[in-house]
Amino acid sequence: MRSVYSAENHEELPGKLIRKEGGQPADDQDVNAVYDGAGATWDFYYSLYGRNSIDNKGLKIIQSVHYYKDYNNAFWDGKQMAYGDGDGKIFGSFTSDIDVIGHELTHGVIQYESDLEYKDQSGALNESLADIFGIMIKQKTLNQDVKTSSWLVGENIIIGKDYAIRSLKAPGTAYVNHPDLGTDPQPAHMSGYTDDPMDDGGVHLNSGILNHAFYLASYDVGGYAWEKVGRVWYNAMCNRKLVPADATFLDFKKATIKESTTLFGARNKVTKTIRNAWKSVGL
Amino acid sequence: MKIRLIQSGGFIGKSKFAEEDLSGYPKQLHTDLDEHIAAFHDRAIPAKKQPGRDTYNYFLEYNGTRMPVDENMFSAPEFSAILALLKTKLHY
Repeated sequence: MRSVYSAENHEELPGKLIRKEGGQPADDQDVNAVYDGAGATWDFYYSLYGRNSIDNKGLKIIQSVHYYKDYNNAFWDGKQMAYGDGDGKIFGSFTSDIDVIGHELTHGVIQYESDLEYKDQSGALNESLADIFGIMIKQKTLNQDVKTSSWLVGENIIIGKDYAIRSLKAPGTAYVNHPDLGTDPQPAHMSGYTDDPMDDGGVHLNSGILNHAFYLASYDVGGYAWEKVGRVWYNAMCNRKLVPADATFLDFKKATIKESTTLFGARNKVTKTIRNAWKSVGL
Repeated sequence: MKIRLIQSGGFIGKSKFAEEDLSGYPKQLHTDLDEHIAAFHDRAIPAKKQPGRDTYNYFLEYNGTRMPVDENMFSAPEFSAILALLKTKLHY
């Protein structure tokens, strides 16, 4: 069940209802983009992992576009998604990429599972899971396997060619020498772990380490990321015993190995590959 | 005395900054800021748990202190004008 609103460039949410479930496409392409993106996200979770919406109980998916003015952001507020139009100089609309839509909806999924605390390592894990499931939702929509995917999140948001927001394949390279943003600061290894107190301990920074582990494991296993490694990550994400709200990177690593062992066996290639991937990023 | 607003977090995770020289501003604003900082240090201002993900965080730097800015401070009559001005000047 999807409802898409326009905040009409104000801050009050949700705003004016433009399109509800089953409604005709709107004249507003941003409305249609998030309507379709939410549908693709729901389909992804349901068809692959049997999950019925954000809360696994059919929760209505509420989204608002045109949030505030020149707003260079998208967010999940605990109940709904909101997307800005961008300032038109550095950023375009935050509805432009399905992986961004999938990322924000996955924050909702996490809230109803382990509800990872949004700070330090648990917060970076929260961010990483949102990026990982966001990228898989894009891959599935575009039928991309581990080799044909760019592994770039937000490829169409920064105005200009050759800029994305984050790279799971090569953290630190999503944007390079941008005149306003500089260079992507994400590390790909624990040696680059940085506590940024202004970003809740570096949640958007250190997620690069976990993102890269997922990429390495998926690439080595091959095929479609969501089939094996993605399934392990989903099961780990939903294991509240092994992944509590204050889970560390090490907790999540152990959870993925346990889940992979359960699914495929301790000596299976998938489990070995996941172990190696964690080792490669310093965990 | 300068005041600095920092906008951090968000989906991109990049911080923006804005500064304003308060030397020409009314003395009352300085007094109000000093009192707010004292309350912050005394933990009289409780930290709010944010349910939002990828929302912006705002911080104010003034007189050697960096403290979080929440919605209440943005709408407080004594601070709303200066904070609104700083918001318009935010840059990477």
